[in-house]
Amino acid sequence: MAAPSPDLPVPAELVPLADLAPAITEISVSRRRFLGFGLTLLGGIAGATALSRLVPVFEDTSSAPPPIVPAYDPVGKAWTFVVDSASCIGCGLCVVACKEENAVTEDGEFARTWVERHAVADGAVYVDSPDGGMDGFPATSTAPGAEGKTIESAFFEPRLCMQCEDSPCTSVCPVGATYRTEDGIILVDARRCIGCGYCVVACPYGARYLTPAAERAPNDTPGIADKCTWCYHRISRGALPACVEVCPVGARRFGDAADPESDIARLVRERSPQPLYPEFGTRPRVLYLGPSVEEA
Amino acid sequence: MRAAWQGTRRLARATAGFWRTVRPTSRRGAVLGLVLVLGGAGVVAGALFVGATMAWSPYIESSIQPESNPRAWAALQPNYSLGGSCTECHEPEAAKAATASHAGIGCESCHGPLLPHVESSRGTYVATREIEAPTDELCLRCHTGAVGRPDDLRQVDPAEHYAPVCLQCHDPHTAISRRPPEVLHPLDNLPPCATCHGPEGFKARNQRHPVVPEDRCLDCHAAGRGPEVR
Repeated sequence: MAAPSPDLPVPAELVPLADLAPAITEISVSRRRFLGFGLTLLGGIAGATALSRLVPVFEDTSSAPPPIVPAYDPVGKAWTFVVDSASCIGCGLCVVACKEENAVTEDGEFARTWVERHAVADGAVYVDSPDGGMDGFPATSTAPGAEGKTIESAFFEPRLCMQCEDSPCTSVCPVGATYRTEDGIILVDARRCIGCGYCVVACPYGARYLTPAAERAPNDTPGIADKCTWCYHRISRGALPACVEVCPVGARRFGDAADPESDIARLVRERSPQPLYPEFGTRPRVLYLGPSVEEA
Repeated sequence: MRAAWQGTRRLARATAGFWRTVRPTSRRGAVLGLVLVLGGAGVVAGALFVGATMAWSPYIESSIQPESNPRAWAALQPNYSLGGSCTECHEPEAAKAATASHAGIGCESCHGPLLPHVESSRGTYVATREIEAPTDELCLRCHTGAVGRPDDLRQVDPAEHYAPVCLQCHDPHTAISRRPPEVLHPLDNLPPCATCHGPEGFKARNQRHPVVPEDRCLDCHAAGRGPEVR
């Protein structure tokens, strides 16, 4: 801080060290002060760091969580879902498991996956799905007009999101809240969804609903669109979707068909399952075996 | 302290000098200067506000980081185990169950979601959760006779089948069920069973035996009969 003394010789060439002694002494004092200042600063930073550990003011809560499976590469996955409606016995365990796994409301009106019974009675086909099939099926069809009619033949048809390649739901969303991931799964961003319900109407397979204002709404946001994700949190960890995991008769198969030696690739190759209602033109990615597609 | 005071004074002098050079000398200049300063502050504040709103908005966030929402979905906590966890500890039970007609059916199909149990008890020998025995309601989900179910699936009519508790006679984990006592004496030329076996004495010894029409005793109690899983 102190200005150099005016009697200090201006160093034209080399200045003897002894001549500079007063200046050096003066600088030495400020060095001590400098060191003290540095120590104080260091202590302050250390203290602030320690304090921020205790009080997480600097923690960024908006950032996305780190990847659960660092090795998971969505690119190149060919997730394939095959449903065998000939095997399904309509026990409804898949519907229950889906609700348990994904915190879907227990109200039977709302389901990410459900089971339909296509029953022939008195020469007419009646389709019913009481509470999505979560409690199984009564002996007679609950479809309107089927009361008291004896079922002659029937098959059960598990349903879920078809993860269409030409998905109308993503096309109609006005805010881009529903989108397709790199591995082909269609998801809904609850933060962007405004709950307009366009996608619910647009889906020809009826796979979507608006979550009721209930405590256990998926994604913790009532009023937004929700649907089956093929258990994205499970398949990205290398596990099977919950409905596939619990199915006692193997009516639901799932896997990555990118590997030609996988069971699912072999199943698709050997039995050539077909999409349900291909005439909708959405190129659905759930493939069906059995009476669901044989009768069509 | 003294140095700091000197520094403050020098700063004040420099500020005064700067003010002398930029000081408006006319009323018009003063108004213009005020408008410039206030306007500049307004523009800076507006830019900060818009920037903060954009950074907070999920629409902007998703366009900057398109993988953030898929990652959030992938980060959800599963409830059902991720496959093959049960046999890590329950090896003998799994081996036994693999011989039953229920072989191939996942444990959690009947026992429910158990990933919390797996995660809290891995590496310990302490039971962290009582696993409830499934109820008849669960058995009957699959085994109630219904049109549309394959013939090789065991189906019963709950009204016809004597079933106080399914698991009393049927063991879902083995191929062989607990058989009811077999009749060891000859059966020719005998009066109805209840003549000797109850109903009073029969009821006293078999509190939980269902009420059965008399002609159906031998459905279960004849040699080689009775419930069998397969």
